Amino acid sequence: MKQVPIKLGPLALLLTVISICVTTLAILTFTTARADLRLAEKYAQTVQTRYALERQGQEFLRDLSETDPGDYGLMDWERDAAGIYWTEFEQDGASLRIGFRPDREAGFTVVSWRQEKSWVEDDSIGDLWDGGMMP
Amino acid sequence: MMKKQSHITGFYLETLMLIVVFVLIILVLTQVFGLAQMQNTRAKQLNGAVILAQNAAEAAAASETPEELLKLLNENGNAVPMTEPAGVTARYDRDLNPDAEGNYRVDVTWLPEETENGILVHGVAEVRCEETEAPVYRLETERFRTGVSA
Repeated sequence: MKQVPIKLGPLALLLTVISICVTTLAILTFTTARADLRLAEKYAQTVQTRYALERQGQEFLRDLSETDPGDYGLMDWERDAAGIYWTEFEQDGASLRIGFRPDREAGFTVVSWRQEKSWVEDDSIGDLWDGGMMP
Repeated sequence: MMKKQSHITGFYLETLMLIVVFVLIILVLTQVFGLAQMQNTRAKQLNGAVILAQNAAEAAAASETPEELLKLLNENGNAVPMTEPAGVTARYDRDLNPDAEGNYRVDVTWLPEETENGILVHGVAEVRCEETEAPVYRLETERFRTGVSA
């Protein structure tokens, strides 16, 4: 009787391929989840910064309401040609710029309230060819 | 006969080794998937908590009284007043919809500080999920109103 040899090769190959596929999927899942969490934490931090600046601005308005408009010139606020005073608060790369002018009835009027985040474009392309002539 | 016996034993040993290695790999990968699921859940919770905290903080800043804050946050009976300190507790479901039995709990406090020419309202929004002790997210806000007293 002819004996059929039992070979383990195909089974081992199949399990290896399955293992590699599942490992790749696991790594992709993990890195995506970690990136999602980092993005969520960054967003949460950005919101904290925005509200911290907002608080500083509101506290400034409180102090401003207690300042006599005649004393505005004594403070270290910028004053433009239109007679508007400007002040700025900064935190974690973000800033809040407030513009206001004295008001006889209300004491002051806020004319500008702008939050900005400084951003510098990264225009470096490393050692990539920039399209110029080769030496 | 002996040769055949040894061949079969070798086959079983190899199969066993293969299965053991495969099971070990699957176990490690299950841990990785579990960790990824945990991080994903945390990210989703944090995103939801940030949105709810912002909504609550804006409502606190826009309200002139704690009663007004309750009116702003109450939808379908999801919000109840807090007495000490003054504020509101509101609940939301997983999709951030107002739900009295929801698993997100938002505690918003409304504290006025009288000044010479108005009031400065301090609002603190704390978001908890699944009744955790520590808040998932905490946001503080302030709003100054001239010519108003508490």
